[in-house]
Amino acid sequence: MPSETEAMLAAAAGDLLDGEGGVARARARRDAGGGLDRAVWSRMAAMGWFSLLLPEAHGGLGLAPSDAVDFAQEIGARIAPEPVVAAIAAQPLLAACGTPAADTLLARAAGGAAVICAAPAERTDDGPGSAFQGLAFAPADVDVALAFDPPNRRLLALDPAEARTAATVDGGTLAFLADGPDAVLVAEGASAQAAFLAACDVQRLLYAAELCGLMARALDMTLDYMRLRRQFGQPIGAFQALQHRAATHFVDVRATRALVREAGRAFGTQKQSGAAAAAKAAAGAAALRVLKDCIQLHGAIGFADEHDIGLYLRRAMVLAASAGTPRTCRAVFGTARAAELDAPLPRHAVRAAGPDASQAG
Amino acid sequence: MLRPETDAEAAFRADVRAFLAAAIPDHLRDLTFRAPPQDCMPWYRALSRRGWIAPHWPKAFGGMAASPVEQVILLEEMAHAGAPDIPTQGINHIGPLLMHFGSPAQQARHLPPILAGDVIWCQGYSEPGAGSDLSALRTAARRDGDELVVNGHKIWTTWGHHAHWMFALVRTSSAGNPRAGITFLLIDLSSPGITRRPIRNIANDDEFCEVFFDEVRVPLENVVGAVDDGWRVATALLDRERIQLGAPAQALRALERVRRLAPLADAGLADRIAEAELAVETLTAAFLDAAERFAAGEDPGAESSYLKILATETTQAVLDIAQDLAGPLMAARDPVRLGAPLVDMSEMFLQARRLSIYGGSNEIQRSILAERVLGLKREAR
Ligand SMILES: Cc1cc2nc3c(=O)[nH]c(=O)nc-3n(C[C@H](O)[C@H](O)[C@H](O)COP(=O)(O)OP(=O)(O)OC[C@H]3O[C@@H](n4cnc5c(N)ncnc54)[C@H](O)[C@@H]3O)c2cc1C
Repeated sequence: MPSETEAMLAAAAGDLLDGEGGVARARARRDAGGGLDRAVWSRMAAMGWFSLLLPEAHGGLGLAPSDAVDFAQEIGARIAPEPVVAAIAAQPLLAACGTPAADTLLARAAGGAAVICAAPAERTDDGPGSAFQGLAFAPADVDVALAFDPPNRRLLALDPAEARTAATVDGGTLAFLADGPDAVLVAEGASAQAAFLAACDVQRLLYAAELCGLMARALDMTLDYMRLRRQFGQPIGAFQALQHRAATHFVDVRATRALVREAGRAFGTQKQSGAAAAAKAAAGAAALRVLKDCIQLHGAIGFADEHDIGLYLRRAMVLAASAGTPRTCRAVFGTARAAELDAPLPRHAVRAAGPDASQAG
Repeated sequence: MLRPETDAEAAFRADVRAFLAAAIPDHLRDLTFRAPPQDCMPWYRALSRRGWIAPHWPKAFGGMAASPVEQVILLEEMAHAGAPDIPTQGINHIGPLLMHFGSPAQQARHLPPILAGDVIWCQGYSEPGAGSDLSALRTAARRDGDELVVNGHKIWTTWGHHAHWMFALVRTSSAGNPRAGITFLLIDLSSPGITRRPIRNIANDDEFCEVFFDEVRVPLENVVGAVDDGWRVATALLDRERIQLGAPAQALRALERVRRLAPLADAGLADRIAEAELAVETLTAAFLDAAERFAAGEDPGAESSYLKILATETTQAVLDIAQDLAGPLMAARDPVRLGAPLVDMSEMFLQARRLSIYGGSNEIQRSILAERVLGLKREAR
């Protein structure tokens, strides 16, 4: 059950996005060939969106990532084109670094003045010692992308405008981020690495939530269409073959949402990374599954650009690939789970197992 | 193909490969969408001059009368060479239909330009209110002397805005069974009263369109078969058309994407790549089986619906695998250069959504199998 704060946050997100124009904004951004609406961004910042997870000592709301799950679902439901989740993850990351460079960036991010995003990148370079190169989803007009260079354990602030980019199917950008003369070293060492990994976990959880909201809304749109569209003298929703498919998607939507909420409970524990990866892997795969069939259930109109359902499929492709594809995330989860299975049970659990164990303790 | 090739087949493959290596212009190689007519029709005509444009047409009509194995060889080599996609409404649909139902005059007028690539055809069946339920179509034609006068609205017409001619189903009578009052008509799209509006699809391609008819006059000699007998004309050949819909053309193109990505993928993905290869082999075997039975005189029957399902869903499954191999680039809109080749990441995946919708949706094909082949009772509709 979502708490009151969570529900309020989610409702406010829905109101703001609807007020700004809802799904039409995603289409407009795509048609304009990308670009970030800075006015909308400032209004989001003014509502405190990007400092939701920033500790109160730094002026943030100090919420836990799980508190933002419903909020992220509302963003997904409206396929908002802004990199909200990446910006949410950036602030606690910078706060955790505690270096002068990080503090400067955090000050720049305040109020939405600068768009600063955490950018987990799939590495494309050759390992330790080589200059960092990686692929990340970052709109070209993000001011700063925070990327981590694992072998050298350096958190870098990069300007995506300097990077080679490729357009994404939703009108956004993939940036081939690379270390270079303009890169700023934000922090380094084990603590920087831990902070960055935590930011990845946050992104995975919240992207998973965004995908849940997206697929739930897409299914609703499809159900509406199935009630409306008539063929053979009746609504296509009256055909049992289609009813069963819709019911299957409902199973996907509900189960994935339960998993994402469950994953939120692991935050702050050892299980956090595995859980976040599990949520992201499941949500990415489920959203693609559901969205492909939503197109099918619409027939030809679903294949036409003028219908919004295609925007949902394309946004799902981008979100599914952000901060780790389903395959990448399954691998992370698999490794985490294997380590868990190898680890000895905690002492209190061993005690509870029987009298022998309790004597041994 | 898993079967060994005869010497003659191997020689044919070598011929095709050599021709494709020399004949495909560089700017048309490896496209992930169907290039517009000015780019694509010269290639169509080059294939035509070589005699390979209509592999499954009989020799009597200028076709190649290729064996099923030769057809597969052509498709495999074309996919491997990155040959451009060509429009098939003439070759696969109206051509064979005219061979059966067209008058000698209609055959003489329309078949040679299809072979030569001088005339592009489109299919005007679907309407806003008549998709799966095609017999609900309302575009009407009334008789006026020796002409039919057409009024109405067709939609989702592939290449309708590029085509010179449309073969259409129009309503000539609204009495009785809706299927009874339909006429099969050939419409010259340069006739006055026709408006065409391209429609963009989810892969950002304006490949289909809608076509509006306002008092369009069509001579009665352009009716195929008889007035009011169009449903039979349009549907009689569907079973054999589906054999061509079941050819592994798109699936092989999709598989080529997977093969290009293979060197970039990590070792853990070898199994996925083999899965794609296996799926396309299965489809190829199914196509060969059906095409060989048909060549031996067997009626393909409603069973051919299974090929349409298999061909389209195999292509989609192979493209899912390509998406998996692409990693984060699965969401890149345009082909990305990774190492030497330009690799498409999403265009074909998006374009492939169509395959299970058109040509009789896969849901409709499953109903045909269930009712007509498996003998299960039809749902009330
Ligand atoms: C890319 C593309 C190109 C096309 N090109 C052409 C063309 O050139 N010429 C032309 O005439 N048409 C063309 N079409 C139209 C195509 O033939 C129709 O899309 C198709 O017949 C389905 O009709 P519909 O889109 O109206 O969907 P609908 O009939 O509204 O169906 C919507 C959904 O309901 C399902 N459904 C409908 N009835 C049943 C039932 N009884 N039982 C179970 N499920 C059911 C469908 O399978 C589909 O999933 C094209 C379509 C596409 C996507």
